[in-house]
Amino acid sequence: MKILVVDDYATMRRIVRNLLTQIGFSDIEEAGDGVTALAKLRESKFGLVISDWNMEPMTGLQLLKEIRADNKLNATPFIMVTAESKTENVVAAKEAGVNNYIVKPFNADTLKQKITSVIGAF
Amino acid sequence: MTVKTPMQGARKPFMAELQKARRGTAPGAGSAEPSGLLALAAPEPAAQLAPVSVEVDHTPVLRAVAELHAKFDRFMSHDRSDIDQIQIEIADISGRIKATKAEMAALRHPLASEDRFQQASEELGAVVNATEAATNTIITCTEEIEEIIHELRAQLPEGYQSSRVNDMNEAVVKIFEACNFQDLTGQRITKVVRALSFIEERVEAMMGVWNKREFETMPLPPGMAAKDGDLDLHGPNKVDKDKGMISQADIDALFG
Repeated sequence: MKILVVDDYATMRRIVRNLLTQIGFSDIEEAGDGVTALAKLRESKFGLVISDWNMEPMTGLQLLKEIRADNKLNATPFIMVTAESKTENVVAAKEAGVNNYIVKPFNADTLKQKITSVIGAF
Repeated sequence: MTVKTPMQGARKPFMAELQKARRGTAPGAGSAEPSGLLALAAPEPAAQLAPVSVEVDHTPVLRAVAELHAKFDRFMSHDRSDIDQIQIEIADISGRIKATKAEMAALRHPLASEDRFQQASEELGAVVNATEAATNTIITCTEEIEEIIHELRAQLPEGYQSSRVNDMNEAVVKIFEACNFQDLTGQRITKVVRALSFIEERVEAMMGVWNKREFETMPLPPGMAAKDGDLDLHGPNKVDKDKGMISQADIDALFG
């Protein structure tokens, strides 16, 4: 299964990629912002999107809404990985259709657990 | 045309006196000549007028003057103490404004060579860059260790050594997890930089409310650098020759 990691911070993408590798994924692509991510999602099929929230020019929440509004992409599982931990943020993401939500900092176990809850055992 | 009074001698008649004189004249008296004060008002030769004596009551005027005098006395005694108090308070407020201006000048003196806000933002930016570079180095090294672990796993048979390699791999995961800090500290520092920028704008706005040039006359704030005798200690700094900083290569060159 191919996973798209979206974060404007290259170091963070690298960390997530390494943790995903450690928990058993090898097909991982990266995008530095929502616009790039959306283009990649429209080019090829991804089984999961793991995205940061606070990015420019398109935020993680906007990316999620774009995905949910697109008939071809709207079934793509989406996990938000962010430092935003206020209730209203989590609620807004849930209302927009996020499948799970991870607050930074996180560990490999949490990441594995959330991925399993979204896509099932792997 | 004058009126003779006991106190004042000859004077011009008041309108009230003329009206009183008119009322005193019987209507239809048939007199060919006006009498009393009416005669005074009439445009007739002075030689035909008889002098008239009028009594004037000065009591209301004297009473009003006495009241004014009493008010003035009260003002000079009782109200004066209130005015003194107000003057003391104005002097106090003025002192506080001057002290506030001095504090504002210490924060952002127009003639200061160091811009403290900018300096603080730059220092924090440098912290983010340095920790980011360090984090990337840690990740690169950890990735190399990870590769070695994979090679060893492939070579080693099951047993103690293989088990230790697995332990190493767990440590590798923990290093990756710990590197999360970089993203969060970066975001927190960005918030602090924004807060600094906000404070800087407010100070700038407050100085704009006053005459900005006034601040130039205020004493310069002391430098932020730590001291060792006469030498300033600046701590970590970017290599900026304009600011007198030199690189390790320059230092090596100095030592030949």
